[in-house]
Amino acid sequence: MKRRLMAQLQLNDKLYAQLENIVKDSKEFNDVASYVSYILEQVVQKKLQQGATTKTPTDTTGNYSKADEDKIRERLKNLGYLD
Amino acid sequence: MSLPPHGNVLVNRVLTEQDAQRWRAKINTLQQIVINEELVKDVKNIARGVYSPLTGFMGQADFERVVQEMKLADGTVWPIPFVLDVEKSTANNITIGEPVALMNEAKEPVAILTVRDKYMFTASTVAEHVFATNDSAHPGVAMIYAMKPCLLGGEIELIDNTKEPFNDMNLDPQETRLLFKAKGWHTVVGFQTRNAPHRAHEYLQRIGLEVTDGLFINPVIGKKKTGDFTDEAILKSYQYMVTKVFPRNRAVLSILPLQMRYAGPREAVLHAIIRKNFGCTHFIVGRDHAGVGKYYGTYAGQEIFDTLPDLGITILKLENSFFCKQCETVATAKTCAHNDEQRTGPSGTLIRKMLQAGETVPPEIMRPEISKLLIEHGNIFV
Repeated sequence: MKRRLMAQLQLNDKLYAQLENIVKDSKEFNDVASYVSYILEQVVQKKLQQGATTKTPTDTTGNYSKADEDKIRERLKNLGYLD
Repeated sequence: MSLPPHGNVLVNRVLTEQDAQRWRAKINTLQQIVINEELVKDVKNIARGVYSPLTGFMGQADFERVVQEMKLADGTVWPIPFVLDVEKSTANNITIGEPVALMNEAKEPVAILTVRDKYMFTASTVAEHVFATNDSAHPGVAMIYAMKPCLLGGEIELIDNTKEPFNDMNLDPQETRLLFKAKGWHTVVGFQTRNAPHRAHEYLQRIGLEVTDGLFINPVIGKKKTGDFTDEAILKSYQYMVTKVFPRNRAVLSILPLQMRYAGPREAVLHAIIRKNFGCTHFIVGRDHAGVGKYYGTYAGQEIFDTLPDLGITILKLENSFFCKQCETVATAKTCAHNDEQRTGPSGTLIRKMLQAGETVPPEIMRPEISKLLIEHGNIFV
């Protein structure tokens, strides 16, 4: 994924050291920046999901984008569920 | 109107192909746990939102409250624990927060589990609460007693999103929800089955269809007992019902790969929640739903809903149906005054015996065209 430098994030030493320890033991993350980015992505995704379901509880596709919806329609057509 | 999913979140833990590929590339650097075919089904169901709001295998807080109170830790109604059992030595080698690869029996990656919790459980407590019995002759209880001693909890991310067998009849909740909307169905009744259709089931389906816009036939596919109809036989006969019997655009057939636990009333609640996630507004619960042997009362699967808060799906509690010779139609004790001598129930033993002998089942029990179709198909029983 393309990354962009938007702002520097200042963390206190203790938190940074804790994050470094987690990353050191991790097999998935190479550095603190990628780990923090991952956490923020998760938080944002969760917020978006919550927003979608609480604001539009009758939305038929949950948290799926227009592109996903088009893909689903295509599959349903290919399988004969939709004309 | 489409119902919100259970817990108000339609879970999606399916990785994009790019992310799945990234995990496949590093799969050999991870600890790997091989899971059986039934657990693979659970993993896929979790990831696809069938078990919303579950996002993975339960941690201890969810597990214990589900067992004791039929609720997740946050208070959401949930009847059956979904857990990953491992040997103690495996659990000891895993650190909290560690991503672990879940592999199928062919040693192919299925999903990543990020372990958030490790804990032990007492099988007899689970059996007593979930199955209301400690009898190891109960198939669900036997499964609990056969589990490994440690449980791992944590969210999963699905790598293998394949849908074989029956890919062309296996829809996810987001697909059914969109399908129902596209068909203009505001209300949808879900019907669960493990059998080829007989008249009594058809009667229940018609009742459901009388009060809703669409019928969602959702057979459970997977591990069977000897003497059960094969998946192919069930699907072939229901394809006939959907295309030739019910009006066009009023019925949809899609499978549900799921391991039966035979937990009777608790499983009826699970089945209702699953159909709610598929977008159903109604769900049919008949006699002895998800029961086995004589462990549960005939209508325990209906009565349990009276003890729960509103699940957000209407339960159609329907009685045992039969063909009445006097009425010359299918009826229930609620709609027919005649005695047992006048009534012919859908005896599974009789249906099996006749079909195995290549004989057409009496038309008051099963549609002749379904009998014919099954006989011609051959090998219709496990």
